[in-house]
Amino acid sequence: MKMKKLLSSGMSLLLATALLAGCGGAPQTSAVVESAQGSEAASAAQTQEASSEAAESASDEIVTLKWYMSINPVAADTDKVMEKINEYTKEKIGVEIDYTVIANPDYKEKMPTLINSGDYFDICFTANWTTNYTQFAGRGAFMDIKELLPQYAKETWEFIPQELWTAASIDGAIYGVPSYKEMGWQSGFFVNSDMAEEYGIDLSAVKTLEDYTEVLKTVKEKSEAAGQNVIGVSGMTFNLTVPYESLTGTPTLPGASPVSEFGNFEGEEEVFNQYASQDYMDYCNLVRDWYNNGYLSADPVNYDSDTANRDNDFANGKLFSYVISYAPGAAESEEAKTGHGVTFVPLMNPLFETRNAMGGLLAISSASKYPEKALEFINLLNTDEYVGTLIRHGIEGEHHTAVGDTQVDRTMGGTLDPADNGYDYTYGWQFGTPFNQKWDISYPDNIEEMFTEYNESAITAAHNGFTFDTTPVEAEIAALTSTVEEYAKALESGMVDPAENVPKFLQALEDNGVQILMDEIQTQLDAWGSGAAAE
Amino acid sequence: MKKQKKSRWFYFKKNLPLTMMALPGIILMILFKYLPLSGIVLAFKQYNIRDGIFGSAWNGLKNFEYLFRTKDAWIITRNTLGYNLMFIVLDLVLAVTMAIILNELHQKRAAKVYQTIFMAPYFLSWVVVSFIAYSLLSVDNGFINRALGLNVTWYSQTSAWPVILVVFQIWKTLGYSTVMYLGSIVGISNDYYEAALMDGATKWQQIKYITLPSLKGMMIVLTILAIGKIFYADFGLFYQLPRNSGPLFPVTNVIDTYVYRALKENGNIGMSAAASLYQSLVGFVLVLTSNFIVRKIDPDSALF
Repeated sequence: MKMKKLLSSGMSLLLATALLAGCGGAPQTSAVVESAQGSEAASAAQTQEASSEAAESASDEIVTLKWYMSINPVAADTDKVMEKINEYTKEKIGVEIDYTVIANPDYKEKMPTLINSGDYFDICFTANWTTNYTQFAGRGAFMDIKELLPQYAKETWEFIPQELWTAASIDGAIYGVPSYKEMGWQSGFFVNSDMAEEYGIDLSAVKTLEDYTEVLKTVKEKSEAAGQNVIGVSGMTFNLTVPYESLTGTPTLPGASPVSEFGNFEGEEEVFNQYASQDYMDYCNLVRDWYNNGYLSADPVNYDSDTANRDNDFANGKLFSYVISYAPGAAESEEAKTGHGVTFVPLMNPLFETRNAMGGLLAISSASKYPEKALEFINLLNTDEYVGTLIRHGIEGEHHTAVGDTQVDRTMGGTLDPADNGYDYTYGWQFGTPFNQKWDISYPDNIEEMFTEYNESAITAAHNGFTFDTTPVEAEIAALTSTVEEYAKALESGMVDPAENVPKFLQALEDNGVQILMDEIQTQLDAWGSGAAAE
Repeated sequence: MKKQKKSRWFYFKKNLPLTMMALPGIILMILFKYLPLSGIVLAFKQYNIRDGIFGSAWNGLKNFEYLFRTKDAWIITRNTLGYNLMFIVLDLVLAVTMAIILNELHQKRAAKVYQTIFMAPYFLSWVVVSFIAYSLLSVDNGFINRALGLNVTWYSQTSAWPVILVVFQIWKTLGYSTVMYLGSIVGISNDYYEAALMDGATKWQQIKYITLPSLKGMMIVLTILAIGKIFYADFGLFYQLPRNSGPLFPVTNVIDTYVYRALKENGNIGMSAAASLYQSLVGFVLVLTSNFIVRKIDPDSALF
């Protein structure tokens, strides 16, 4: 009897937990489908198949393409703008877009799940920071479009520089159309130039990290004298401020190659562990000094991770500078945002390496029924100015007014508050290329020239086009990723003593198989080198 | 033989309404607990999207390698088991104590108020709790540093975190388990207490000889269930609360956080399936073992 009672109480408990678990699960599933055209996303596969088949049988003209896009934030008038685009594309290439746009942080979580579970789509946004391009290409999610490109997207094929195509290829195949924007990456400081002027700081003298110590010292002394406590710099990271070519495509993972033009990492091999270099030790010591001298915030790791707070402090003059990865025109738009002067102090020339082609790509699903049509549409995004401008700035007369032939005004002559604008994206490159979209008048007139200048000054890394295949060393990469996370952040922001912690870090890397990873990179690099030489 | 069959049918008919009531739960269980079990094969596959779950190539135990490969394997296992053991013991002792205290309160309205207050943190998300903790522990603006005039970087003090984690975990979950035990206590017949009072039993004797033995079944059920989850760690607690702070890893890294950090770069679902299979297997074995032990000692209290 007692036994039975216990059993039944146990069972009811189990049921209760099952129910609770059910309740807990429900909001999650609904979160997955939450988006501009949310309800459709859920049954994407079925509806898509049904509708495309219907479209096929009804008329051979119009094809519906399912496009998943990641951009911040999701604009309120997205549906309206897509209607306009569909009007145009139906006429021009016989394509209708079934568009699902998801904000960047959510896309990162949802899209991989959608792909892994085999949902149907034609086009999706991919990059090395969201819905990882190389991994999903490696797992067969995307279609190789190399053969189709010259035929169905001829203008785009010619318009995008060859280096970019090289960088986007994996073992000779191309799985996505890269966003053509600035060619490479360039780090440096965004500095509050009004404050620099007030304190009499000459920014043009800053060429290296060491030069910056003097600047930070002045800021600390003068701001304290004025009764304020201005934080000197935020966001210090080794891979941004001491540049090297990342052979794994993930700069924080061990596996670097020195770029001779930068003159750092002297005496290192072609493939080396950047954390074991003298440069790493020097960097950590320098930042540790900055931390001890009070040039950084009291808790840099937590401070740096909260970028909203950082932007706020930068605008209010509580933060003097922060480390960024620069793109032409960014300083001007930062000035508009903060309301004070902003100067970019570069720490390097732009560097173009494989992973830069992976800042954003539009890939076509390996299951897509209409890869040709999808490519034609991507071609429009890249080369048709009407489509490019529409998708970035919205409808003329409703979301912007045209200014001359090459510019738009998103405030519509000051009558529209940017906060009320139902459709406008500051950064349009995720949609293809900014060179095919009109610029807002807040950008300098010569913005395209600034891009050209930037791209011309870029150094192309020696191993551009080499894509590391992580499959043979996944266990090592898993363990190493965790190790880097444990040590690097605290070391690189000066929170802990390098003399004690760098050796510990290196030992932990060693224990977790860093040498196996280095050897694998070397092997693949040799194979790639001989293949490239043979071509 | 025939008679028995008939009686089975008889019982089935008699219990039909109850069976029907259980049906939605059973269907949910099948849909969400049993059907996904077939996904276990993923743990042994080199997953490829084009070939699908069942078409992908086998790769033996390779997906499990990274769990044991790392030098941190020992630390991770120790943390996971250590914290969970501590939680199970503390939760049991404190929740039973709280339940008895709440039950002994004469002012039933006050008891309800306390109960609600204890229960409230259970409904907070760990993300919210992590910000509460941050406002207490932040180095420059934290309440603790300010109130005590300290300058401690709490987010790199390894020695403090075992305590902080336990305190927050108990604070958050205590109310929930208390209510479970309180429910059982309320169910104990008043006759026992009246009889005990007649015999002159003190409050303490009543608790010791009536309340606790009556709660035994509930304690065993809840503990065995908790042991089944001993290899799972609450991700929110160990990831959000310490704000993913690197220097704290030696005391905050548990299986779930390790798997998350290890796989967030490569997003290999075969490897994550391997991790959860490993956790489930260990949990399964532990549940069977603990139930076996309970059955040896006291067959009536065993779960099955």
